[in-house]
Amino acid sequence: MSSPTTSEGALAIGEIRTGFVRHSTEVSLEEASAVLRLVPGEQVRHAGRPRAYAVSPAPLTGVDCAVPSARGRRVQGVGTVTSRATITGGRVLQVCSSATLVRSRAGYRLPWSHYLGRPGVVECLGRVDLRDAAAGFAEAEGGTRGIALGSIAEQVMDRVQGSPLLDGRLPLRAPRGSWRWAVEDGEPLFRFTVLRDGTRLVRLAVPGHGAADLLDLVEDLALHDWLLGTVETILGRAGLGSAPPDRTLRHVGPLVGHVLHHWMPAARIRPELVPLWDAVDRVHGLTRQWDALVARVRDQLALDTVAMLAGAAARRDGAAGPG
Amino acid sequence: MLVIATSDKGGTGRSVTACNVAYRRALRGHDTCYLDFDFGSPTSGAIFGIAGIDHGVASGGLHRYLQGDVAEPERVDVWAASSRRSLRARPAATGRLVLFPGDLGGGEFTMDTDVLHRCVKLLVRLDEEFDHVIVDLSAGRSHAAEMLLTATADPELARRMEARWLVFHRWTRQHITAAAGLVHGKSGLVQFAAEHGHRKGSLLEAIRFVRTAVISPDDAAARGLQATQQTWLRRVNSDLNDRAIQLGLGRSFVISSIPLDPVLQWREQILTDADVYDNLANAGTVEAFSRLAEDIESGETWSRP
Repeated sequence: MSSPTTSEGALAIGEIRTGFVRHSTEVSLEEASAVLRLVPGEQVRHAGRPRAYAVSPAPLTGVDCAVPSARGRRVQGVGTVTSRATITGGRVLQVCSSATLVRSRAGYRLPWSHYLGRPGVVECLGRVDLRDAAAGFAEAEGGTRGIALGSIAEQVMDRVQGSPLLDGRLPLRAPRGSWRWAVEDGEPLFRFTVLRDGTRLVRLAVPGHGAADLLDLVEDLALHDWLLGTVETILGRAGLGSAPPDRTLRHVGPLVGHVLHHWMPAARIRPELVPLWDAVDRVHGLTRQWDALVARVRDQLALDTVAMLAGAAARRDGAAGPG
Repeated sequence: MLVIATSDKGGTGRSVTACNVAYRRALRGHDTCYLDFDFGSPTSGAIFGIAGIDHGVASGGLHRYLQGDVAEPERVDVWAASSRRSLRARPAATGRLVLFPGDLGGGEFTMDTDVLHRCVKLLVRLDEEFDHVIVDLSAGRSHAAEMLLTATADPELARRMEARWLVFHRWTRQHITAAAGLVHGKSGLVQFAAEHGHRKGSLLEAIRFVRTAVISPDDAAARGLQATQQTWLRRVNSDLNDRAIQLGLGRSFVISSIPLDPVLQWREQILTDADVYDNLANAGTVEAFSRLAEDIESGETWSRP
């Protein structure tokens, strides 16, 4: 796999999409490997511990587009975008499309063979301010985003979801989660913004860690943030505590069966980055909220069980009673 | 599930009913989206009360998406964007309600394999996040109708998404004949489906009729008709019933009868429960929308008698 790395004066940007695999059951590691074979002849990497995880090889997409800018500067970028699809726990599919922006030495567009030799690198033809580009991509709501990494990620995701190995019978539906991130060089930095449509923006710099390490971190954050949002939405529908037990069960059943056991923060990020995960978690309270939701589900199920048992007992007594 | 609303003639109340059904499904906690495929006159923006897109969006609507001009069609969150206060106050436990508007001055288009491919891709994509995808077609035979018939025969879509068709017609002689022609006619939907990869007879099982602007003779007295008029109405109604049965539009193929509602005649809009309390809308109409919203899913409606 070729992953973007930040070298001196470089900026890595990317978009992540998160959703459920379109399949009725969890896919096995073998199935996941077959589904993720996006590049002929290249291997899918996978691991079984601490939970099932498979990563696709990285297909490349050629781009010739505007470079993002918060101040509306117009700079052309040419190169390739690299994508990777992962399946976590046989249920959650994530696609990340990313590129490293560097200044072009030539200053004009070169033949494609030049760019194909630098997978995942987009060369900026003209004077580019990388801080401005990072802000335009992953902080400002306005500005020009230029490079359509989100569309590329969506397309790769559609391709995976369209695999004939997946039966399309989803046990539960959810909108795709959308994250835009920028990894910069320099002083430590973490800026997190949520847009009105729910898109998460994150700007990040951790001295000593390249984009590949930080991508794992951002991907893991995106996964858990999305899981939390999805569970929250579904529990909202279930009308916990107010709706009749069968409605609650209809919504909560699939959650217990397919979602709740996927919570495993920081399962596959570098140990040095775990404190950063924890810090984000402390501020945004992901785990606290998750624990509260899960406890609520269990308590409600217990309560419904008691109510149903009591109802059954009353019916039995009624039948055996007078007459 | 994919629900496709169509009609042979205009003015049947197809769009307003389909929008209300989408709204009722969302109220019941199902994630629902509404696709405005009435490219000639995309009015769903007005029905949902979304300012600025009364006749479609300026760029990036469904028409432009299918033509390949944009990578993804524009979405409008109805709960957030509607200018009607009663819609913006989204109750807890409701599903998402998302409108995919048409384009301003969209017009028809020619269907080629690229357009068809984009259509299938979009529907498969929406099935990932919505319980119900409601598509509103224009009146009459359109390229959009042919595109959907071809798309729903596509194996990638067919094995994942069940498609149901609602054919709207008013309760008049001309409308009954026209609706029968649209479905059973020589170049009707059933014929087209058979020629484009649908299993013989399968489309017919997926079609139900919606009678609109119906005046029941039993309600006629309440509307202040004279006895002679009531007798006449009864006779006409019974003739219409005979005609409908003859043309394959009999009771067992009807999923809903929507009563004539003056409010909807004057202004096509979403009828909320608050509108009924305010005596702006008839409880009967809202009840009919609500029942239709339930019946598009329930198995009984769709099993052959």
